[in-house]
This record gives sequence, structure tokens and C-alpha cells, in this order.
Amino acid sequence: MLIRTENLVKKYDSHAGEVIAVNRVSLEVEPKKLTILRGKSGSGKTTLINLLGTLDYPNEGKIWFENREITTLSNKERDILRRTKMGFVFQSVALFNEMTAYENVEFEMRISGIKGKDCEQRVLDCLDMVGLGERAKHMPQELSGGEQQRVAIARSISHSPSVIFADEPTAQLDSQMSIQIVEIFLEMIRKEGITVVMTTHDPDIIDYAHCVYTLNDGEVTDEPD
Amino acid sequence: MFAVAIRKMSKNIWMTSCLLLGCLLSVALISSLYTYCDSILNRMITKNFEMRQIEENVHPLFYSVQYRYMSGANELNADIYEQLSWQEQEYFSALDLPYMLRRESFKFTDIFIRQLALDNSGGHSEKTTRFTLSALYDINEHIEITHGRRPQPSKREYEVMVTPMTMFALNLSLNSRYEIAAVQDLNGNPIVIRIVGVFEPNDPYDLFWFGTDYNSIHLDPDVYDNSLYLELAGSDSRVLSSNCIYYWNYALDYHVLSPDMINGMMDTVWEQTSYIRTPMTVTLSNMDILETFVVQRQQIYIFLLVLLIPIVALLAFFIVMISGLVFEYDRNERTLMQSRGAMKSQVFAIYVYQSIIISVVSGGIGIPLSVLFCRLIGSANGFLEFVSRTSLKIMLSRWSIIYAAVGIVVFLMSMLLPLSVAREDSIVAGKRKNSRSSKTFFDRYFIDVILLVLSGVGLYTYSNISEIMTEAGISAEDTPINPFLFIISSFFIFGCCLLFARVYPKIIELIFRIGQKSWSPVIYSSLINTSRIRSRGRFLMVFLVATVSMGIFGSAAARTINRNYEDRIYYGIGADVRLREKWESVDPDPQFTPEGAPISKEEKDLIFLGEPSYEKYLNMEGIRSCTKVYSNSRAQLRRSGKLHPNLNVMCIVPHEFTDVAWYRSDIYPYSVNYMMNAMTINPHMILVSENFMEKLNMKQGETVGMRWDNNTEVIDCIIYDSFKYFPSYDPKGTEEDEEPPYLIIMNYQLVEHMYRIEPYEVWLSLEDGYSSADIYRQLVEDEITLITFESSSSDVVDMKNNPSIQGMNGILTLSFLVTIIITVSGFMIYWVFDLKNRQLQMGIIRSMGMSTFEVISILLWEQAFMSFVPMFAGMAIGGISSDIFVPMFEFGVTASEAVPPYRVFIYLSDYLRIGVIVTSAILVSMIIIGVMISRIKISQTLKLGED
Repeated sequence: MLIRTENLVKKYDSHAGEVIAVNRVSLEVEPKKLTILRGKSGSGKTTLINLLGTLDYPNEGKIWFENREITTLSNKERDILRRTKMGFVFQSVALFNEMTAYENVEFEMRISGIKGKDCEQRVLDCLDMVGLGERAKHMPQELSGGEQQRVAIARSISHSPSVIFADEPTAQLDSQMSIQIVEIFLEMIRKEGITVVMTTHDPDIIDYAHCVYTLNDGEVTDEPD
Repeated sequence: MFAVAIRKMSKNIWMTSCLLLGCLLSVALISSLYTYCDSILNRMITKNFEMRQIEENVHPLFYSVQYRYMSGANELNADIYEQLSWQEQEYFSALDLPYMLRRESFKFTDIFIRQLALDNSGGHSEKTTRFTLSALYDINEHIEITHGRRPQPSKREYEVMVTPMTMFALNLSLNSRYEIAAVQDLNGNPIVIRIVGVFEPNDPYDLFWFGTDYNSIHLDPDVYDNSLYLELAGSDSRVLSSNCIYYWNYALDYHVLSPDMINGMMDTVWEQTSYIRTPMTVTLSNMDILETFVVQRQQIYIFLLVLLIPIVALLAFFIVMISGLVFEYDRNERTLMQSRGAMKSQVFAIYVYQSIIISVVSGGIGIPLSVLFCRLIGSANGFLEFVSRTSLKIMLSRWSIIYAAVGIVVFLMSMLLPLSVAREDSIVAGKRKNSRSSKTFFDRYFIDVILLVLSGVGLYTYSNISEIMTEAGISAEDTPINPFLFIISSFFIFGCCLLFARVYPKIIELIFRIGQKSWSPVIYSSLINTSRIRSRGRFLMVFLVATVSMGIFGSAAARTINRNYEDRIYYGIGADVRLREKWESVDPDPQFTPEGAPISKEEKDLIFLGEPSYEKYLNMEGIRSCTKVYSNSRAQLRRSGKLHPNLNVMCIVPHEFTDVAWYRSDIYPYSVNYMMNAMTINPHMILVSENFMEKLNMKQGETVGMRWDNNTEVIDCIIYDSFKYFPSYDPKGTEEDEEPPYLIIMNYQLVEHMYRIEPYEVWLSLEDGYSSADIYRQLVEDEITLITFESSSSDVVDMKNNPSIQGMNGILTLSFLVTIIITVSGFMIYWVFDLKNRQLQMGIIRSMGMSTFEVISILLWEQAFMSFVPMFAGMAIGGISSDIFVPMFEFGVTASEAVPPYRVFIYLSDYLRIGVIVTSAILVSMIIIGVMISRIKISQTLKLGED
């Protein structure tokens, strides 16, 4: 098992009192699979994926990543973990506007400490993988929304992480484009042997998943399909 | 809509405050300029009038309406008199000024009288005397009869009174009768006056006597039922065919005159003089003072306005930038409003309301703030230097407010400018445009190149253009900086700043490319962000560069001008204080010289003068050192049997002189001490001015003979060296001089030994903390009579109080402070806004595994690239501009012709001071940004991105 959680709880303070965003969630993510967390808006998908990706701290419960408990890691260790083992794709495309497609990808690799000739080739390979090898020199604003998201995917896999966390990566795209994105993920899983954890509320995509968890009010209501 | 505007502003409180700050400062600056000019000029005019009053002993400002009656030419009767006095009141009321005293009087000038025989026989003396017959209403209240009695009406003759001085001057006597020559009444009878009284004014300095001379023969009009004038000059009574003038005089209080009042008054008087025809005339006393004022006001105003132009441009630029930011910040809200059915015009109206509110508040606070600015300008003593002065009486004139209003309108438009440009943008178009617009307006239209070319052309055609400007009335003669030069130097600075903003990202890009493969992620990101900086970031950079370079330039200009003025004063006087005492004569009428020879007339004045004690200076408190300096302009130099007369010789005590005199090391080829040592070792050594050395082709080491006046002995001297400049010596002389002045420096002790002692000057160097006034006071207390007393420091104070110099120092300092304020606030607002925009980006970087420290490092590097490098660039641009333009600021004479030579002063401390101010501003904003970043929660920022 790549990721395993046990009774994860995340609470927020809001004006209306305490909100339990994630409530006693226990789940498992198998390696080299596409795992989808689905649910309505506000069901806790994003909170959960942030917890899994060490971007947030749970109030209760534990998370194991590659059989190592990560809930107790220091900030520094979390940074290293994210830098080496994890990749992220967000709903808002979130490319760096000042960087070309190539530089966006290269920057991720630079953070992971990869430099030099290998780096250059890897950047081009990643962009090729998402079908944007030709557009490496383009600035994000010169690309369509789908293309931008593909660059974000290329960026997230560039440093060969074990897992990619994709939070609603297709939310701002039309259905055709969404499917294209999911197909890229599947291809990544095949070619690169990575794992993808993705949140969505798009029913068309669910069919592509190897495993689906449904969240409702912060709780996992179904066992994996 | 108004309420929406208020709500929107309170939501964006920081940006609104920033915008308000920009507008406020602009309004205050513009308004303060006018207020300052008026206040300082008001002080000047009051001073000028006071001085005129002291010089002439009469009240200097009065308005006078006169009616000149000429027999046969114009009629005068009671009706006409009524009409005239109505007219004069109309004329005066047109001035719209209060008066201190109104006085009606009349005068018969150029009357000739001859004394009548005392026996009433009708016989008279042949001798006639010219005099003036005056009649001042209300005179009785201001005089005292010392002899005789007050005049009374009399049928046969006119009773008059005189002052003792008139009596003496005209050789009159009390109770004598005089016939007015060549004048008869209508019946052909002579007109007779009788002196019945002698009077003295109660107070000769009483305002009552303004504009008149009480030393004349006075009738007392008050005893004649106001009809004396008619009786004397009226066509229906006796005819006094001489110059009769009726006066209505108004004494005005010059202390209450505001510059606007002066302009109004001058205009009215000019207008009246053009349409009022003889025999009526109107005059204003001492028009020269007022006319100078009007001219100076114009000059100083234009000069200071020019100094203010760059900063106002920068402020307008700032306002456009901030309102652009506000506009961009509001984009989502605006779209929301439009999607809910608000029309574009309604949205536009909200911005108009917002701008109006800001403008009104700016006006409301800015105008009072301008008063504070004025005080600041008034207390400027140099660049970023202030002293406490007698406070300026601040006068907020109508024009200060009008100018502020014009400023408000301009800034209102600047605020709406980004809105009107971008009004039609949709969100998508806006975003796209925003992200692509790395090219600014300035880049696109090559404004930098245009400005640089303009400044180059301006510099090239400088002399021609300054002539044109002088003809156009923009005179550079009376201002410390030629306005035209200042404008082209501003062009140069702004051109350089924009050029820097254009080139700098390219340089960073190049650095990025060179090391692209090896940069650490922090540097990688910072370099990319800086090299592809968007237009607003560039604006900020231009701001920073412009602020620093203008600061450096301003400080160099102010310091150079101040220091060169000071140098000129110190050089001209030669020491802190230079004085000459009165030498009292020992023998009032000497017949022989001390040697026993018959004495000549010239010698009488010089000889037998007792030397006053010199020792007192050695012990006087506040004097560090003193020396005797004897000068003579009639010296002769004998060389190879030929005499060269009329030379200036200055005899000094070399070892003392070095301690006392003012030197500037750069004007001597080597240390003055060497020269002085040589003169001390061998008292026969002399120094000769370079122009004279060249004229006679003399060589060092040559022996010449010196003597002057009646000294028979020739002093043998050896030329030690030549000099171009020497304290108090002007090698150029005046334009009237046929030849430049030649000067020879000799050893006083040798001269004292060989010749008679003659009155010399004492040069003093003062201890720190003592002023020339302290010395002067001590000398006065010791009852020492001074013939001359010159003080460098008090001249420097006068110089610093000159409205142009003070205004220049004040405006340059104020401009710098204002640019710092707006740069810092622009800086803050930019970074805060930028950070808000980049929170998502920061979150992503964090998600990629970068630590908070690294994220902060990215921003710190960006700050370094975008703030510190531009700051140093600004210093370089400021330094270069100073080197090019400041030497040309010397007005009237070119740099090389000035005595002592003009020198550019840029102190390292100026760079440091500006550097420290800017750096601390940057640091403060960095700390704030650091705090903001460390508070960012990744998960939250990532959520923000989804909105």
C-alpha cells in the first residue's frame, strides 16, 4: 500500500462554530493506480487530499506513506517528502505566469535538486508525454486552459514522484478535455509507474478510476469499488 | 452609488489611503509653492518698506490724489470741489484697502515773496525769496506754537506760521509781512502774508507728516471754514496764479499688504494713471519697491515651479499607478456588479465618486498641510538641513487655493485615467493583457530615448535657449539655477531612469540565461520574476531609481550652490571677520612730519594717527586668531629701472595669516603654508599675482623694488612665487577696470619696520560657537569706533535667507522627502498587492517542497534585484547627472570664470544619507512582507486559487 490513513479528522473553526471537514477517514491508496476521491462540493475532498499531500495537519488520526508514518514529520521532513515523492496538480491551473512551459517544468525539477543535461531531456520528455513538446517555449497565457493543465501535469511528474495528488484538475475544463487529462494520468501510471490520487465531482471520469472513495460531509461513505 | 463608493473605499482601505496620500502630498506641494512664495516675498516687501522708512524717516507707503489748479486753464468753485472730493473717494475706494490716516492739504509751490516795509507804507524790499505755501488740515493737533500765536482769519492779509528751520532758511522774521510777487487778487491788489507764529511738530516722526515737508510756510486751513483753498485759488475769488495743488493723501499700512493686495493695488493704480487726466493725478509712493516685488514674484515663482515640476510629474505618475492597482484589484467585484445588472456607466460613476471623495479630502487636508510645508521650506538651510528661523508669516492667498484646486482637478483626472483606458476590458481580456503587458507605455513609445535626446539637444542649444527664455521674461539672472537647465537635467534623469527600467530586465535575463543550468531554485525564480517583471513592477523600479537619482541630484545641486555662494562670500571677505578701526588723530593740525620735513596735504590725513590697541583682539573672547592686514592700492614696483605704478599691495603677517584667512585648497597649486613659511623665513620674499607676473614676464627669484605714497625708501623684494587666487583678491576685477587688478603680497613686519604705521585692517578667525555679532558687541561695549566691519557668517546668513536660495533648498528637500514617502508607500502597496496576487503561487511553491525560508528568500532576492540594484543605479544616475549639469548651474558666469572657481560638491555622506533612508524604507517593507509570508497557510492559499 502506498498510502494508508487511519481515523483522520480535520476540524476548522468558522464563524458558525467548529466544522469537521474530514471525519474519521480511513482509506488505502494502492500504488500505480488511479484513485479518485469523489463527492459534492464541501464534502471534504480537498481537505483530505491536502492532508494526504502533507499540505495540512490532521487533528486526529494517522497517515502512512510508503509504510512510514508521516503525520509526525517535521516541517522540513514534509518539505523533503513533497519535493521528492509527491507531485501536485490543482484545479486553478497555477502555472507560474512569468515562466515558459519549459521553465515551469524545469523549476519543479530544480526544486527537487535535479540539474544539468538529464534535467533538460527530462523536461522535454515530460512535455512530450502531455503532447506539448512543440510548445515548450510558450508562456502560460499563450496556451489554452487544457494545455496549461497539461503543462501542470508535466510539471508534477517531472521529478518522478511516487504519487501525484490532483485536486479537481478537470473542474475548469470541458468534458472532452477532462477525459484527455485523465487519459494522460492513466498513461503516466502505465509509463512511469506512478500513483495518482485525484478528487473530482465529474461522474464521466469516475469510470476511469481504479478505485473510488465517496465522501459525504467529511466521511467516506462507500468502500472502494 | 455614493454609498457603494464609500463602502468600496473602506474595503480597500490601504490602497485608498495610498491614493489619498499621493493626492494629498501633491495638493499640499503645489499649494505650498505659491504660499511660500507669497509669504517670503511678503516678508521681503515689508523689510524693504521698513528700510525705506528708516532711510527716509517718513512713512513710505501712501496713495495720493492730486488736483493741480492752473489759473486760466481750469475752473474751481464749490461745486467742482464737491465733485473732486467725491471722485477722490471713488479712486481710493477702488484700491479696496484700509488706510491708517487720511490727510487733506494743499500747497502753492514756487511762490516768490518780498518783505514789506514795517511801516505799512507799501514799500518792499527788492529781494525775492522762493517758498512753498502749505495748508494741512488738522495741523493744529500736531504742532506746538513756540513763538507768537496761531494764525487767525484776517481780511487784509493771510496769517501764517513757520518752523524755526524755515525761518532760518528763508531768512524770515516773526510778525513781518510779505507780499507775494507778481500776483494780485481779482481787484488787482497784492496778496499779503504775515508770519504770526513759529511752531515745532509735536513728533516729527508722527504719521501725520507722511509725504510732506513741514518745513514750509503754513496757512492754517482749519480756521477758514474749509474754503481757504477756494478763496485763494477759486475762480470766483482771488486769483493766485501759481502752482496750486490740492492733495488727498492716504497713508497705507504696508504690514498688512498681501501679495494679492499688492497686485490689485498696482493694477488699480496703473489703470487709474492711464485714464485719469490732468489736472487730476494719482500716485502711489515708492512704486519701485512694489514694481520690483511684482517682477521678483514672477521670477521666484517660475523658478520654484520649475523645481517642482519633476516631483509633480512623479506624483501624477504615482497616482496613475495606484489607481490602476485599485482598478485591477476591483476587477472581480466590478464584474460581479455588472453581472448583477449594473450598467457600465454606473460602475464608472462609483469610481468617479471615489475619486471626487479622495480629491475633496486631499484638498481639505492638503491646503492646511501646505502651511506646514511652507514652514519646512522656510526653515531649510541646505539640502535636508533645517534651522529655526524667525517664523514666516504664512499667507494663504487666493492663488494658493486656486493652484491647489487646479492640482486636484489634474489628479482627479489621473485617477480616472486607468479607468477610462481599461473601461471596456472584459475579465479575460484584462487578465490576458495584464499578463502580457511587460512592455510599458514608456517602452513602447521610446519615451526614454526621446527624453535623453531632448536633454542632449537642450544642452547643445543651451546658450541660445537661455537667451530666448531671458527675452521671454524667464530670467535666470536672479535665480541660483537656470530653470531651463533644471528642466533638461530632469529630462536627462527621467530618461536615464526609464532607460534603466528598459535595459535592466534584459541584463537580468542575460544573467539568468548564463547560469540557467546551475541556478538554485531560489535564484532561478527570482531572476525570472525580475527579468520578466510586469509593467507595474517596472513603474515601481522607475520610481525608486528616480527618487534616489533626484535625491542625489538635488543634494548635489543644493550643496554645490550653497557651498559656492558661501565660498564666494568667505573668499571675498577673506576671513570670518574683517574690520577697520578708526585711528584718532594725535595732532589735529600737524605742520611737520615726524622726520621734521614740511607736511603735504595727503600726509596730514595719515600721519600722526594713533594706532589703537591691537592687543585687545588677542585676548578677546571668541577670537581664535587674528592678524593685521595692511592694503594700499598706490604701490609702485621698480624693475630694471622701470616703475610700474598703481599696484595693489597687501601686507600680511604670514604665520598669522595662514591661521586666520580662508583658503580653499583646490585653488592653490600647493599648500599655502609653503608660501607663508618662505615669507616668514625671508621677510623680503613676496608673492605676485599671476596676471602681473605674466604681464611683466617676471620670474621666480627675481629681485624687484617696492614703495608707495611718500615713503622714500624702496624695499627690496624677491619674488618667491605667483598665485592666481588669494583671500579677498578678485583677479577679474570689474568691467570698468581697464586692466585686471594686480596684487603683490608682502610681509607686514618688514613693511612695519621700514615704513610708518598706517591704518590697517584686522582679520579675525572666530572660535566655534561664537558669531561675528558677539565680537561686534564686545567692540561696541569697549566704545571702539569701527570704520568697516565685514562678517562672512552674517553674509552667509543673508544669503541663506534669500528667497530663491531658501526656496531652492526647501523645495529640493521637500521634493526628496515627498518622493521618499511616495516611493515607500508605492513600494509597500506594490508588494502587498503583489503578494496577495502571488499567494497561490507561493502555496504552489510550498507544495512543491520548498520551505518557508526558501520562499522568503525568493522574495528577498527579488527585493534585492528590484530595490537595491535600482537604488544603486539611482545613485549612479544622480551622480552622473550632477557631474554633467550641476557645474552649469552657475548663473551669470561660466564655471571657469567664477572666483573662486566653481566646484561641484557631492559628499559621500549625501549618498549615505539617501542610501540609509531608502534602505530603511525597503527594509521596513521587507519585514512586513516577511511577516505576511510566514503567516501564509499553504492549504488556504491553494483554496484561494479556486475562487
